[in-house]
Amino acid sequence: MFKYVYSLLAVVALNASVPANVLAQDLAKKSTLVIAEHRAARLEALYSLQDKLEQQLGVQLKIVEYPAPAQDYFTKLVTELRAGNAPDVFTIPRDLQLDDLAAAGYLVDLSGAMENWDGYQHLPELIKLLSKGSFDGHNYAVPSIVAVEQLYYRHDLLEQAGISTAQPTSWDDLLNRARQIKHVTGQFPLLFPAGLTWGMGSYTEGYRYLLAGFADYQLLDQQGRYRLGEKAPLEAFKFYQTLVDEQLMPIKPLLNPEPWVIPKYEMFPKGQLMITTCGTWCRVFDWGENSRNPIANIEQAVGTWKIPSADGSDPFVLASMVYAWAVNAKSRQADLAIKLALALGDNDVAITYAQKLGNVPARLDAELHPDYASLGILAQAHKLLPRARALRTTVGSNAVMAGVARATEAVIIGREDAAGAQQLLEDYVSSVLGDEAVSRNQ
Amino acid sequence: MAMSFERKRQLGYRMMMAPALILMGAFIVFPAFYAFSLSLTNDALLGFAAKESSFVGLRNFSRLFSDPLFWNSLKVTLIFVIGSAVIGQFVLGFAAAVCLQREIKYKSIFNAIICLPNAVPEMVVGFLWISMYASGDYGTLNRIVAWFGVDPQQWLYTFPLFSIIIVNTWRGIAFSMILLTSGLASIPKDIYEAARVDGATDKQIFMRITLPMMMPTIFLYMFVSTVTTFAIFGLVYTLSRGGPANSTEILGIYIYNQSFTSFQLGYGAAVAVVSLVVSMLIGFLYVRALKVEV
Amino acid sequence: MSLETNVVTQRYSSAEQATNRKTYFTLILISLYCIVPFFWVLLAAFDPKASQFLRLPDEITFGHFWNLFANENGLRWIFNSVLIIGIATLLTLVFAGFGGYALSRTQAWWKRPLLYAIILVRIVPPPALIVPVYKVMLALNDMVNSAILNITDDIETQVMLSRMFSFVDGYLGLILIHTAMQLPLAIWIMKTFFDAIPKDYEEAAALDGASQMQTVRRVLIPLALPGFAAAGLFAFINAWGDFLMPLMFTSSPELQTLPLGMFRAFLRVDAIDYGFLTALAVIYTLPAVIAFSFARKFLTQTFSGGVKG
Repeated sequence: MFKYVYSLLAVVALNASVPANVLAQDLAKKSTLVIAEHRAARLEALYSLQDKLEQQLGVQLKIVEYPAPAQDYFTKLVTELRAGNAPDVFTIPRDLQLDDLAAAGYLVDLSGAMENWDGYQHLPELIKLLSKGSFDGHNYAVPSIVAVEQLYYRHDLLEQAGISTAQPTSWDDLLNRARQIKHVTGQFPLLFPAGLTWGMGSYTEGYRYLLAGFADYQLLDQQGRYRLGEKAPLEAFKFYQTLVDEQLMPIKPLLNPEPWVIPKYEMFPKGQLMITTCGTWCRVFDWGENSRNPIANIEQAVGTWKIPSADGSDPFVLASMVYAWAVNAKSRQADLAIKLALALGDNDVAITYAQKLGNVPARLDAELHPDYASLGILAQAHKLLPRARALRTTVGSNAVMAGVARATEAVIIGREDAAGAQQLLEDYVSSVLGDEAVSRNQ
Repeated sequence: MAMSFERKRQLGYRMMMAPALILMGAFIVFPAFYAFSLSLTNDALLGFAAKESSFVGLRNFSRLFSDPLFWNSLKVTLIFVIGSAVIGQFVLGFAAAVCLQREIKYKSIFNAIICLPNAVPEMVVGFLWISMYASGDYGTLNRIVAWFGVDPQQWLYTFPLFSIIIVNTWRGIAFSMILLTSGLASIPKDIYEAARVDGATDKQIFMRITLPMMMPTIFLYMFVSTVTTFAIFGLVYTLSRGGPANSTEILGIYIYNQSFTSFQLGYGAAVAVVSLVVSMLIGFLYVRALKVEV
Repeated sequence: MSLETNVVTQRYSSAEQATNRKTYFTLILISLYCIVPFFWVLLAAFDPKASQFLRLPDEITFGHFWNLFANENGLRWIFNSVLIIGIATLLTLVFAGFGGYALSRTQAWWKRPLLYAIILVRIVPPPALIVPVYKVMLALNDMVNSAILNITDDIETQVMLSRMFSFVDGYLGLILIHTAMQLPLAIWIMKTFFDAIPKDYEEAAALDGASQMQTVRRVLIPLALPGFAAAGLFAFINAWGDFLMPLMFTSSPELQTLPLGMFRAFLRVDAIDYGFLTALAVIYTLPAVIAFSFARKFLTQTFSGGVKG
């Protein structure tokens, strides 16, 4: 019996080593780096860059396809990082996941490498900050592309209805515009994502827009604790409450599974919703010519506003570092992997990805690149980068997002008022992360 | 110094037991106890706790009992078990078993068809039913209900829990049919004859003879199917992953989601402890009630 | 008198007919419920234009099945599944054979507690174990991998060794965890079968001068063969269809087995090859159905003392 088992094992061994042998012969012992990528558009971009990167670094790249859905990708990545069999180089989908990965010890500290990297000086200060762990100030990721987020509105329909399309200057201004839209057109004016089923997006695409409306507010205090008991979080919930009380926002679709489908893909294109939060990719993927719900003549039909502030400061756009490149702390060839990660921070790479995904390159010197013109309308958003705002998070961002989802749900179904929602958020976050993670009233 | 024959034999038995005990110990028994100690920590796959977790006492449990999603999951599990195992599989399996007791044609074909779903791997079950439930005019189920004049539905969105109950019922009819058939076969035929001679109707025979005589088998079936349905994971994971909006998040899925999508291992372990305690209670009750002979 | 009997038989037979009609109606309804979901997969596997929807193919093709051999993935998944589940089933049989025999024959103090313990172990819901088992596997995995780092510096050898012997994302781990999960039921089945073999047979063989090995080979194994068949079939069916363990403990594409490979291919929302997947589903389901048709007759015996597998 053991003879059989042994010969079976031998078969497996043979099987597993075939590709390695082939490589060794063909490439005269070139090192192989494993790189994870997912989603058709991103894979396409990487395949188109593969030859160039391989030549540049003198390595063989093994591109491994990961599951497309964001949650599956992240789960697979994290469990592999923990088990030590993760790829050498991979992307961190959103900046707010960086701290959790870095604190767990999964990422190579890139501080030294990035200081000597000539791309670093071309990054906006904000993006530099987002590439660092909030708890130690070290760089853990090489930024490549950035999502620029603001308000998208139906320029065509507002003009038709004789409503001003000027940039709203404050929350009150925005709310008044919304009331006017509701009064004149009878349609829903505004959408800020909220609720349990929208998940992480209730924070990233909704609540965050409002929190950032206070120029002097940051989510973290000096000790890296979450500041949830203050005025800004409360005012943000009050904003939601106003939207709910005056029925300025469609509530029912938000309680559905996949709550984004109806407001974003149906109501907005049909003109039943006039303003929504979104990022640069929306023009391409959500309502672009080749999307499933195209808006005719989108360049004219849909306009953008910056996000108005609550405190009298200027309107602003939000920036998120998305899909930044990181190196596995357990990589067997960390030095080479770091080189690859830095090479992926090049403008060539960033512009290729930015085009496919509807994002903008992270580096400011991308505008000098010969292919910059191919970005088209995205270039406008790129110009806004230096003055964009962002909210830094720290370890446990997961819990904050889950808490915001629960708290905004309570507001939209009318179970809690703003103060109650704030309490709920604070309680939830401290029950998950411990009291020490939340900065209580000062 | 020769060992006595008997002692040698006893040692032999222990040696034979060893490999199985080591494997079950390492991968089932130890983990089951380890779950208790993990549930008292903040262990996680992300953040500082991933590097070094710390003891947090009963914090996970106080969070658990105040978490509406946990209670939701418990409720969903209960409905799922009752709907599919206690009602769906049992009623249809019993009906099939009673029908197949009679002298009819094509018995073995019916039998084979009913058994087919039971053999299908979980992943394929999900795959088949996603096509059945596909929305739009061309989904198989939508075409079927169209004959009855019903509009196309988004089954997994509109009736999520009901839909997965239908799937699990489908999968388990065979098991209850086979078990109940063996129960029916053990009822002596002359009791029926005697009852007929006394002029009992079919309904009376069923209520007064079949059902009472079947009670031990039914009890065994209820126990087994409750325990196995309680342990289901892959079928729901491939179909709905607990969604939409947690409406099909049975306990197993809730544990998985907390541990591997929220990455909170300590909290996941706390839910696992609840699930272990519940199933052990069922187990003890069963051993007690049936006075299982070992 | 004769008239009366006639009426009675007539009434009896028309009642009989009505019951028969009801019987057929019930059975046909249940059978339709059971079989309709299979139509799609069976048709799509041979349909050149396979999609998510049930349709009659315009023409029949075997292309999807040929594709499995052309497409490296399909073949690899099948190979991995057969290898992992095959070895796990064999190990289960060996260990359960020994264990079941010992439990059947011993009269030691640990017999009863162990039997009760096995019943309880069979009740443990696997999803409740995922976190602690994951931690156990991680610890074993770290041990194995640091050992591998000590053995060799060559990166390719390291990769190969860790694919073979890792507990997370390695063949060894998957084989052992599947074995462990199937053992309680298999031991139970084997113990029941050995109980039915009188001890005298062994003693008689021993008196005839047969060595212990000979006794085992010539007497015990042949007599317990139905038991091995039942235990092996159930272990195979359960492990073959399991989704949780592969989900937890495989990640690299080289190690993917059928359930997870298919599931991940299904997640490529923008590019699902339904023809390929349905053909694979047919191939994946077939061994389980065949095994089940053999195992059916054992089904009632196996849980009389405990739980279904």
